Amino acid sequence: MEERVKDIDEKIEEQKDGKPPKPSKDPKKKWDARAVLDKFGALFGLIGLSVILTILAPSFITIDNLMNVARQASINALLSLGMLLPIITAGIDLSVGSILALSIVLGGIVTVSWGMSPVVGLIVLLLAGAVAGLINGLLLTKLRLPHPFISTLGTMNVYRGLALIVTGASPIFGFPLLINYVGQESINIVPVSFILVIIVAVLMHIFLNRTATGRYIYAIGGNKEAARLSGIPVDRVLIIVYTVSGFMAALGGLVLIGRTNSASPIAGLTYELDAIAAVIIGGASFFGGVGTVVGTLIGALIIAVLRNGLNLIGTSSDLQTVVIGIVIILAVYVDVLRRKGTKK
Amino acid sequence: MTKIKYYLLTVFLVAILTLAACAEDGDASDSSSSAGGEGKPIIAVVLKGSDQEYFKLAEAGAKQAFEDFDVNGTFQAASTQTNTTEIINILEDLLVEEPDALVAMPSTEEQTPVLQRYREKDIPVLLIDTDLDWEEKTTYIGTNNYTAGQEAAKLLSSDLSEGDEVAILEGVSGAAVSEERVSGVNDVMEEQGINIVASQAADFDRAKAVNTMENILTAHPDIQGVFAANDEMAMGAFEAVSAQNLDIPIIGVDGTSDALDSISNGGLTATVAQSPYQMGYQGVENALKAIEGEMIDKEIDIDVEILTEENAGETLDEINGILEK
Repeated sequence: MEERVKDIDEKIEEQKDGKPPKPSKDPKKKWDARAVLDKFGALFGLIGLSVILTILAPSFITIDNLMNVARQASINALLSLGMLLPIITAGIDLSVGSILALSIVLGGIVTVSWGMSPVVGLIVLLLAGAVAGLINGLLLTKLRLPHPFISTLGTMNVYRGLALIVTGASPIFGFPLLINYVGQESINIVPVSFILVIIVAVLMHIFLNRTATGRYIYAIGGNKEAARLSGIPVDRVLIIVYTVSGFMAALGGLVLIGRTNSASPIAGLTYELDAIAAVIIGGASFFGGVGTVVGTLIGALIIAVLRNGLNLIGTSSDLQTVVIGIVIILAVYVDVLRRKGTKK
Repeated sequence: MTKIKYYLLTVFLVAILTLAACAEDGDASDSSSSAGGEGKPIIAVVLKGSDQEYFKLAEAGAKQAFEDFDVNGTFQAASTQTNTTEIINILEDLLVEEPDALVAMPSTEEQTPVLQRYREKDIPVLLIDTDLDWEEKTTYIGTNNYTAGQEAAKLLSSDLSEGDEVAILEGVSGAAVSEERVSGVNDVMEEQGINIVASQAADFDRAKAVNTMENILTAHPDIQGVFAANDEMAMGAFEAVSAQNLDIPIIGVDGTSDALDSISNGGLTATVAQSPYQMGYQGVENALKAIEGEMIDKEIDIDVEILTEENAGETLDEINGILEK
């Protein structure tokens, strides 16, 4: 397995039109500011932000509040980890907010309205997300739609509409404990939802870095045609990418049910935008081929810390929106600087 | 091969459109197209959204009135109220059919120009739920949101004393409905000498309200009451508050079915309920009067109702009856 991965890695390097590997790997330079920024830029951002917020609102740094941040970051973190995959392939998944809604209302109908076992409900919920994602992948690869922006924009509407139709636009409430557990409970003081995020992040990291499919995902993002020519089953990999993204949206939905003790067909509106923001703030590039699990997690935490901190300070909501927008622009600007640097 | 593909695609599209048309027929929502309506007045009802129970109740009220007053009713709704142009398109399309009266639930002032075009054709326009600053409207039928806020604040402050701290969860910032309700609360609280220590937006969204409420509790642990500008946010605030084993009174606005369920089970304290069903019903009723040349008031107030643990259950049964749940 290890060898196979190495083999693919070499292949990927070859595909980059003979470009040398990233400057960070250059052994001649002992310390490269850009490489450090590359790796830890988002982390510095998170730390800096936390310091500022602690000064402005001392209650920010309390354990209780940090646990709140972890809890509040969970849903977006799960969606972002899913969104990371399409973005690495230079794609996007606009339907995750709608998939979240559709999967939780289906899970809700099965457990609450039909009174079936919560285990069945859980399976239906997660399966619904994966199937919705699978359909995204099939639309993209089999219908040869020009860009996933189109296919997922379409399904974003379809899934949202379906969620509204099956519920008659009313939220479902009264879930059994098993389904509420992840979003509602804590182990000691650590929210279960955040533990789930960490477990999923570790698995995702292994998947992206230590499996053949994971390396293929980066290869497709680097150069889709080259990947195809070197025998990578591009379509199959893309289908997996969108299926995983849909599944992660459903997982986010599971947390949301516990948080709100309900499943609403209009849940998750605009969540895709927060997820995209987290992935981009975390250092991934819209041009594909770049992006890490750790960076994405930090991106999701930055957004959660910002919202939490601005609430603590009591900033007006209008100003909050402005601040979050500015942070996104700054983060992407750092990405632009970085790309400029690599080209020289 | 390509020809076959095109052929299949065409068949597919036709099938979908036919299906959609059939579904609409079965829904009986579009009775305007049905024959035999000759001579009956045509009343069009258009809503700004259809993705919430609130809109479904208004729809049910309007359709009941179509039946009760034996009018030729047309019903249409935009998919979501945040898309403010969708309802404009619907209104433009309907204008071609020249209904005898229009009952509209607009979302913003952006819709005034298209409504003005109805008035130019001498079609009465009755606004429900959301008022517009527009001279030519035939009437406005709805709840006064400022009053709704005041009522909520009076109830909330009845258990509090001077100097106590309360928090407010606002809706989408800039939304008139939210601002009016919140200003009603602010005025009453100021009178009573109660401090509003936090007033933050959670966009009418339940999940956002959980987050915002947690953060407010961190910054202000001594809060003794919460007002939320709608029930969804009140439910979210309740989750945050009860997760910390606190018992803080929370009051929302709207009267949605799960808020009512929570109130009757000792969760939320109360809600200031509006009656979208009545708005839809009275909209059609008064439209008929307007067609027949009767004078109607420029503003028809539909009273808010404060629902607490004592009477929430009854109202919930009524709503479920209307929605046939």
